[in-house]
Amino acid sequence: MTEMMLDIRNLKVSIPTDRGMLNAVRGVDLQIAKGETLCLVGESGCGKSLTATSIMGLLPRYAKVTSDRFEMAGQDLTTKTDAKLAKLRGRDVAMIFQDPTSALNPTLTIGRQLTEGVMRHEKLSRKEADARAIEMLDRVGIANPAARLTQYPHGFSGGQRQRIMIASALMGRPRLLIADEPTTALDVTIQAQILALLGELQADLGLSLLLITHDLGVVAAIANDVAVMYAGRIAERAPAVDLFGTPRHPYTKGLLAAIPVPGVTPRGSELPAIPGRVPGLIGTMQGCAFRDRCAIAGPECAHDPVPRISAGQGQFVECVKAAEVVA
Amino acid sequence: MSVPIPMIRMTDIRKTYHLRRGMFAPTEELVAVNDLSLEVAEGETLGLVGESGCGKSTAVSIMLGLLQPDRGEVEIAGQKIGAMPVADRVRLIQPVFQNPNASLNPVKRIQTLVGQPLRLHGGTNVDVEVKRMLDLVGLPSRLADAYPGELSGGQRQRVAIARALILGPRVLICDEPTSALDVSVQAQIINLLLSLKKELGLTMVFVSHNLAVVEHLADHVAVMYLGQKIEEATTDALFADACHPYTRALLAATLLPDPQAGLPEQKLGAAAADPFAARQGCLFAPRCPDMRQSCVEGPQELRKLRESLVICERAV
Repeated sequence: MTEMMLDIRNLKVSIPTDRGMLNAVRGVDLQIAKGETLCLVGESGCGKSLTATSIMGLLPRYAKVTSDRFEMAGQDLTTKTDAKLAKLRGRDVAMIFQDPTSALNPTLTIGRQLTEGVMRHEKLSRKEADARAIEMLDRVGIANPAARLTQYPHGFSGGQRQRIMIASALMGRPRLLIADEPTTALDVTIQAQILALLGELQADLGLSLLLITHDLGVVAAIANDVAVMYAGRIAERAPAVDLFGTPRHPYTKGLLAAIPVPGVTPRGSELPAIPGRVPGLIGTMQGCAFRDRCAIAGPECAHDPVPRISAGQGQFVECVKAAEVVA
Repeated sequence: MSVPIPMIRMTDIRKTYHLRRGMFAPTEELVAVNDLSLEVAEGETLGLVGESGCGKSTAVSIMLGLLQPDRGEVEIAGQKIGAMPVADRVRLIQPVFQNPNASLNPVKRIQTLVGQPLRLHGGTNVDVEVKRMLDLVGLPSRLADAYPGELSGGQRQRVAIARALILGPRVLICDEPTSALDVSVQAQIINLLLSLKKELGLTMVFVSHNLAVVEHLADHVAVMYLGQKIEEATTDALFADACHPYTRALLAATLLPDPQAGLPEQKLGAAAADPFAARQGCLFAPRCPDMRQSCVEGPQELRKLRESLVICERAV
């Protein structure tokens, strides 16, 4: 069996609000093998970022997190103390955020920001840490890295800042890299470069990569495996080729159809949009969360629990009518 | 035979900003838009594409009469926009912006927000008109009493469109109207814009960095780079046979939902566009995979090449 980098079962994240409990993540199972790239796709508010944040342990104190299993590289995280967790996470997992401009501190030099983590976690000296920073900046394609350590973030372009963020994430030599919409704030030509860089690093360093995005184009470009999230649950998980070729959840199918493809979608034709909107996540939910927007929904879709149809190798779809979608 | 007057005509527009790059740095001139000329015929849709900082938004603000160009003229329906009273201008041309969360006042009701332009410009029957507009953009009239915060992103963008249309403009300028929206909702708004264009005979300028969306909506496309129009062609010609290396790089970088396609090969260098760089020769030369010495020397002029108007002297 392949070794799991991350194995999460039945993850639930709830956030108390003044209108009641906001159940943002409602039982997510997430497994990432070592060296694998998994894309977590979904619309805003589907819980994809909260899922990632819970892996990092960066959720606010008032968020209620439960899970049946939470293992990272074979270690059970649910039984560890906070100090132990911080140590584990600081070493094994790193995260890249969407907007490099707001994720970098404008008043500290690049060098300070890159070395802070390793000086604390690995007790490296200033000199050793600087050497590591230079190595990583060079790795992500920043020219003349030694001279640039003393510069501030404003001296870099958006694409360069995202490279610096990636270098900073690599500083602790993590085994799992989580990238939350890493190219959304970038121009398309730069986006392709950053995605290429992530793919390259992943192959060279044997990283597991969890990439969170709403852009199915990005998914198609770099994922081995895709998990589609809707209203706090994973609606479908499949290898990228299968997911794009034969989507088995009506939501996945709807998303793919809604994107105009130059040369394929007739110009000016009406796009098959998914009607309605994402449901609110306050309180409990009965049956399939997508059924109000689903063209093939029937009375059986209101029943709990929504059956999970597996197809081996971690591939599954949560839809009573999955057979009808493929047909 | 008389040639019809284009609905939008921009002639040799130039706009510069004077900026400092640091607290004590000297001011430098940033050329946001340089010698930009565009024409859009009535009922047509122009797609305006380019990276952030290429001058799309400045060009749009000038088109709307919200910003004075340093030189050049903008005519909407044959009338100079600079000389036009605001009351006339707003009935001719209206904007829809990227982020409806920012463009709608959160403490006003939808009814008030949509009706405001009409009320300001002395319209009558405001309530009836608001109802008609909500209907036109596909919003249930019960939402008239709601606040923007109670609406979804797609519904808010519909409100912004309703408000832009209530004065009955002939031109709609859409600045990235779908980029803040989710994929499933983006398709709804694209469909709405398409049907409005048909129903009302609107002339549209659609600014976007998403080339797939532009291809779907636009009749012709202008590509901008560092304030300059570097290529313009019909949508068919541009997507089938782009002439400028930058346009080709943009097209190649558009990621399609097809796992067989893989990552596009990057031929552009790691350097980003520098808006402060000296404006000599070809502005794209520092990133161009095809650059030659002659590119950085002589002045570059737009010329006709096959179906395109292109600024690259080496394009064949």
